[in-house]
Amino acid sequence: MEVIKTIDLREYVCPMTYVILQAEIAYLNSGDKIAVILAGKNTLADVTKSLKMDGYRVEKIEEEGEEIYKIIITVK
Amino acid sequence: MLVFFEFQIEKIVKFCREQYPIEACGLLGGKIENGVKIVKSVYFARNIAQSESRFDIEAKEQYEIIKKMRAKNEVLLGNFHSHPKTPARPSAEDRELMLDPNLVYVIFSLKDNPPTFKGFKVSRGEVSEEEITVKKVDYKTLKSGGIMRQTEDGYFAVRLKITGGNLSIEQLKGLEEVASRYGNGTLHLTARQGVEIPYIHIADLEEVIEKLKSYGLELGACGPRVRTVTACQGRSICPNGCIETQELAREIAARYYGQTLPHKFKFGITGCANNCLKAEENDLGIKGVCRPLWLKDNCTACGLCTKICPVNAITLNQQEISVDYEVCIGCGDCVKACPFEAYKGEYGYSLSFGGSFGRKINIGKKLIPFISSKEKMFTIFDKTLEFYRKEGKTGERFYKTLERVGFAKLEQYLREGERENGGN
Repeated sequence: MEVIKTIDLREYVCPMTYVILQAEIAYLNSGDKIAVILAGKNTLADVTKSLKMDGYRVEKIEEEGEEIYKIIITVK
Repeated sequence: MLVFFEFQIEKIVKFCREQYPIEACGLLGGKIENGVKIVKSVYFARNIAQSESRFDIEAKEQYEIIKKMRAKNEVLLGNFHSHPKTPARPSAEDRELMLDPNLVYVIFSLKDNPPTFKGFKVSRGEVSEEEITVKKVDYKTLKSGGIMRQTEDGYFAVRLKITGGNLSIEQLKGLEEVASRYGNGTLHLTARQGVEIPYIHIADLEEVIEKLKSYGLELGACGPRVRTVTACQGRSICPNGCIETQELAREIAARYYGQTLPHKFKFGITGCANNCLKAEENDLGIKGVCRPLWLKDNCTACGLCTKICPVNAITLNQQEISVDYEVCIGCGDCVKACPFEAYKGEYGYSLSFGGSFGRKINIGKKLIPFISSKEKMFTIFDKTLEFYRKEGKTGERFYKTLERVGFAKLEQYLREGERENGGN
């Protein structure tokens, strides 16, 4: 399955990062694979913990630059 | 009987001396309990006669004073005046003015040194002496029981024993009743999650204590003893929590609260590495921590944990994870975020000693980075207080003792305690 959308959340800070991500996910279909771009260690920790609590599995993580991360998840 | 408190007598005598050689006068407000009149407030008035042998208070001023009494729920108990040069017994004119059988008339004589005073009452036109009792106020004893003297004489702030900042609605109702009936309608939240009720008059203290007790509220501790145990919400409420802080706070309070030591001693509990409750500012700080144990079989080597670890304690090298426990702060983020359950979190406590955040600031030293047994932790607490009692000088904060004798001595003492208790 291909990544159908990349959501760039670099400009947000917690808790908005996760709020915006949830809002974006709400418009997607179950099974859609998406990439999420995050900035900062803390944001990465908070978002990945929240995703796990909500039943999502981070499938892949890549470091795109200095503390810039791309994570891949599949919409439930 | 009329009851005065010592400071009220001192205040009246001072006023009488200031007015000398003119007669000083004023009204007494307070409450009546089982026929006993208890003075709560002394109201000075101006003697408009400006005489050395008689006094008179302007009607307008009397009215103003009565209004003040009503505002404080006090009743008029009587009046007082001074005899600058004659004994404390009513003159012919005084007798004529003693008209109300419900009041006590107090005369202070400046003839003798120290001044003397007597109370009088009138019944069917007959004047007789009324017994006066003067109560001493033992501020030190009151303070040790959480009752603190306010700037204004006669008033106290009552500190309550509250553990971990938790109050039930029932207790809040008790606070509401006491503060509105006996206090000034306010409550103060202290820096250590406590509650103090200000403006409690000494004459109401016993009643207030009884009332609080009926709502399940006990008095707090001040002075050189184990103080309020602070705690965050802990694991059962906060998703970040590693330990049950509230339960632990209650257990610590039950075991040590109010115990006398060389100086004040504070326990503080914070549920995780976020440290909302500032463990290291306490004499003994307890922090809930999570030790991540890597489960190789589940790991896909995705590397998420290495990237989110705030202190870079995790390294991934050729599919192998290694955690540097010396560096790990026990936040548990790796355990909570790992998508593949490749970590098992072992939860426990991290203990710091000798914190202080008053006139001088000292950050508690982490001597026990990880302990999982609560029972063993309590042995450490026992030993720590024992050590402080033994080594600490009166009035010396715990960190000062530790600086003087060396942290190593405490560590050694704790290790010996561990051996006595069957080792680790």
